[in-house]
Amino acid sequence: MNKAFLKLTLYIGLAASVLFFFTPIVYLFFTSFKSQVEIYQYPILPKDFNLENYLIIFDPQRSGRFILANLISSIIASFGSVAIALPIGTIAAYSISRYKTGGDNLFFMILTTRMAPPVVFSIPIFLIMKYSGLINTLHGLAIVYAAFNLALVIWMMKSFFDEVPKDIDEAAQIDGWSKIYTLFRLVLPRVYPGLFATAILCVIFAWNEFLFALLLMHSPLNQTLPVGIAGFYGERGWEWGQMAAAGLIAILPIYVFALIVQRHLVRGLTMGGIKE
Amino acid sequence: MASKISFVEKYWDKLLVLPTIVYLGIFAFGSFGLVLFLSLTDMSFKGEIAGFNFIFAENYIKVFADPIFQTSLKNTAILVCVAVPIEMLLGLGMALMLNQDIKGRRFFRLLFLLPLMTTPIVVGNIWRLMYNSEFGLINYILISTGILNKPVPILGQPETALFGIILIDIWEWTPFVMLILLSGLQALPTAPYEAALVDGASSLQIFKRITLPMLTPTLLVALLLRLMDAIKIFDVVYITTFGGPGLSTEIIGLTIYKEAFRKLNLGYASAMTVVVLFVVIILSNIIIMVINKLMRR
Repeated sequence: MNKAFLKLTLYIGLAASVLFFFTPIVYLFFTSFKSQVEIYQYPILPKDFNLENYLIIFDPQRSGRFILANLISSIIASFGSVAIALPIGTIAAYSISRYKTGGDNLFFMILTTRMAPPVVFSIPIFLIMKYSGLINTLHGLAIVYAAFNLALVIWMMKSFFDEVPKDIDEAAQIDGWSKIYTLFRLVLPRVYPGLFATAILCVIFAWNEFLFALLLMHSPLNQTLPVGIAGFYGERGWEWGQMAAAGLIAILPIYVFALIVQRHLVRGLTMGGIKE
Repeated sequence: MASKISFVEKYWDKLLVLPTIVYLGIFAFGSFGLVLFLSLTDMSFKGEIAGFNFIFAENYIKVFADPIFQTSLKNTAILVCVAVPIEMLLGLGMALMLNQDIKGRRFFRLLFLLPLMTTPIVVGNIWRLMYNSEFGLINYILISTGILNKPVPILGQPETALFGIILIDIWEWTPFVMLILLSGLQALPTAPYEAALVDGASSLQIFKRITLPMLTPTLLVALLLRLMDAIKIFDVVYITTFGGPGLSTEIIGLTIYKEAFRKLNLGYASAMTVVVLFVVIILSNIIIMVINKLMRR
């Protein structure tokens, strides 16, 4: 009796959770196939799966938007930030993992840069970018995202380096290998999977970022997807179907990335909270 | 050449962290210094920086008397104090469910992760659709089941708007709590459970006497991270209500953004930033202190 009751609660809870967490995303999916008129006529399912909204948003002349350019900007800014933050952060993580460089203080200080609300950095970074001429450029945005991703890279890579036995470094030293060779040829290959997971987590963060893209990117062609999507306001108010289509374009790559790195998500998300 | 190699070898550990220190020195600590400096001036920004004067503490005196700032502090506090406990409870419930032996467990875990992975701007847009009073799904369901007789613009009226934002936050962040707690549950040792089963303990007893005490450190970590993150909320409010109607959903991040980049008062907005930063630092230290005390017990 007790067991059957528990089982029933379990499945009711599970069904309710699926409804609550999944329905809004399905609703976005359905809405992306509806025209502005159909949205009012068909509250849930679309009449048919019409791709019109997707065609419109990718055609600047019909929509007045630059979703394709936004998509490319998002790719450049997010992957560019990884190209900067990953090498810089990885070597620092190796140093902190092996030599305890800077003690606890340095590691803690690096982590606090990620704990503070981003809006705290909005004014100074806006000014730094403006007066260094990097404002409204994609490499400028990538540099800013790299600064935020650096803490994540160091946190993740330190924990991966910690898992590689120190014997390798010591044996290499006895055999007379240089420290450069030891790091790049002996230790680094052992953390390639971790490097890959870290890179993808950084891409996810940069891809979803909105505040700095909004502040720093002014020309529509340079704006990233979140900023492009935030501007879906037309002559007749919000163009819901087009907005939904653009939203799906933005989140589908992230879902694929999340699927790839789901094993490492906990490690990435608990940054600063768990002492290992 | 030989001396060059030995230089690299000698300072190897420090050379490796040098790029990071330079990078964060400019962006994080340089930024902080710049904000501190600006907060003492009356600098405003009209495309270019005009001249500015040092007015020292004047901005800070103004900040503490600013009704908008007070309202946004209050709203942020309400949001954090209402949303985070609900997220913790729901997240714990879901983690316990997914820790059971059910079919397709991995699939459900992945499904529940989707809100967390969704671009926050898109999260906001999804819920603008859901809440819409003319065609939105929520009003449609409430009316067709007879709970309401006419549509309610949930985000459009001051009484319900903050509640609407809180529900979005719960949707977006409960999966985060669930994910951390689930990994905590799966790392628990199995021996105490086997002993309890031998002794014939009930499910409720097992939960109260074994699971909950052993899970406490993980629960506290999740709570700390959620509290710190909830204060940061910006994107979702920007895209759904922009603080309105009136000041009913005005939150800290938005107030600073508007002051700096709409009203262009960089000096005054910097003072707000410094105050917020200190509040966050003090809060996080209090939370960490409480956690350490609880853990030691």
